[in-house]
Amino acid sequence: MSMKPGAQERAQVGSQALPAPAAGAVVLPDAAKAAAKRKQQWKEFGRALLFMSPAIVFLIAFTYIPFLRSIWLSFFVTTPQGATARFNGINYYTRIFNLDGSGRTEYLKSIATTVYFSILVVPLGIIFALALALFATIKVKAIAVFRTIFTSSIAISVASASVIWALIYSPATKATQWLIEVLHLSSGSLLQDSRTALFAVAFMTTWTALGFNFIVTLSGLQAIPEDVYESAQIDGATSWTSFRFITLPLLTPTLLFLILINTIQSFHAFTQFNVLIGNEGPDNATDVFVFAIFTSFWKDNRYGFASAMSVVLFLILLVLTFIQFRLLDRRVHYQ
Amino acid sequence: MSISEVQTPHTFERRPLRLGTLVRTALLYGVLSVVALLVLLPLLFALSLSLQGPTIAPTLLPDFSKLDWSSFGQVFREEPNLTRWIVNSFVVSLAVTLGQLITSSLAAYALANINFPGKIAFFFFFLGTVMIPWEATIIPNYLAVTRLGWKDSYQGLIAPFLPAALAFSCSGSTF
Repeated sequence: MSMKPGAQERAQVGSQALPAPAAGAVVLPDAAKAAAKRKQQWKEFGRALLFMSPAIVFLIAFTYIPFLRSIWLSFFVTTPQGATARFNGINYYTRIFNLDGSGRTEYLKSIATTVYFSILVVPLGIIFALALALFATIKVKAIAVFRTIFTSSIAISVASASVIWALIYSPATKATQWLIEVLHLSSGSLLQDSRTALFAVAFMTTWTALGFNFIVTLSGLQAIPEDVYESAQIDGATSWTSFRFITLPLLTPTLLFLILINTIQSFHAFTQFNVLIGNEGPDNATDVFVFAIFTSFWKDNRYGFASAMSVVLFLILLVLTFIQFRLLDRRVHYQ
Repeated sequence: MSISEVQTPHTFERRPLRLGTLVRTALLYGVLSVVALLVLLPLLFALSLSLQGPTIAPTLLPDFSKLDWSSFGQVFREEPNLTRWIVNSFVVSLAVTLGQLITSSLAAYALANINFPGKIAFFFFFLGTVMIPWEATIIPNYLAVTRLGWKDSYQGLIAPFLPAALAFSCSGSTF
């Protein structure tokens, strides 16, 4: 049992408050000592429980019970009011993974779309953030102003950012007309073409996440001690070699953190799809998994099926986090 | 060793400003400004559109000789609920933040400063909530809020989100 110094002191004060044996009295037998200790432990437990009870009540009521209820609901066909109507076994799960032999693969496809989306978003976002962070280490007087500007997108909610980018992609403003002409698209907007729609949303998402990614990368860069670079410079390192062999290895813990957070976030991405696309999108090219959950939950009121999908999403995220920790942990250089 | 002795900070400061360093600084500011402009471009574009008034053919830059600020007043006139929506956002976010602060700091205090049996189990009880995505709880929460008659009310928007940031603050102050 590890204790913090403060806790240790308090624990001692607590034990002194118990009826202490008078000086010169016979030492208490072991059994009595153990009983006193147990009583003390229960007292501490009660005190701790008192402090934790508001959090525990809310977590059980709004996280754990709903989560278990989601799992429970996923095995049932539900009424539009959300009551269970008929036991359905694992039919919803076999339907999602196309194991029921029906050949309908739209949900497997939407998982694939989500994976593709995060493959677009995560590396792009981290490269942009790293480039910005390197710009932000330039030693000029007004660098704080530029750092503030680079962080600004952190203050914009995904919903507002989506509206702004809806204007940018809108055929009425003609802001992306040049790109449509360069790519020889037949549709009037990048969002209406199945080849570019997902990429357009991904680009918008990297802009939204830029502020957060930038500030995390910058703090990672600033944690690298200056003298490492100085000694490398004396050894004749160019700026590229010191970036490759000092900055990147020492930044890997930060980048691992960002990869994790960004991957999980891109699997959760919903708002931008709801605002920018609002429906299944061109040829289902933007039909990500969370949007499929939303459709069956909100539009179709199929609570059981939506619950089954959210349980699948939970499992995907769990596995993903586990794999990333195992894979990337080996390559991380902690100083 | 001798090189570093020559370039002591003192002699470095006394060196007069050379044209080379001036050009270099100007160049750096130029590059930084271009990058900043690129980052801000979507925001500036939205601002530019808002200053062009009712037009069917908006341009990238507004006509700076006649900027039309009327859209900002118009939005409050034509959408009387807008102020209410802004107030709603403040009420909900304030209540959720306060609630999270109170519940999580109390729990974090217990985890950090009291030594009690089963501490590790409670720690994982809190940390485990991070692994549960909001999608996995939103459907039963929505149904519960509906059943309680809390739909379209502050408590319906606030209560389910009270414990969200808990595990983070717990882990932060415990270890």
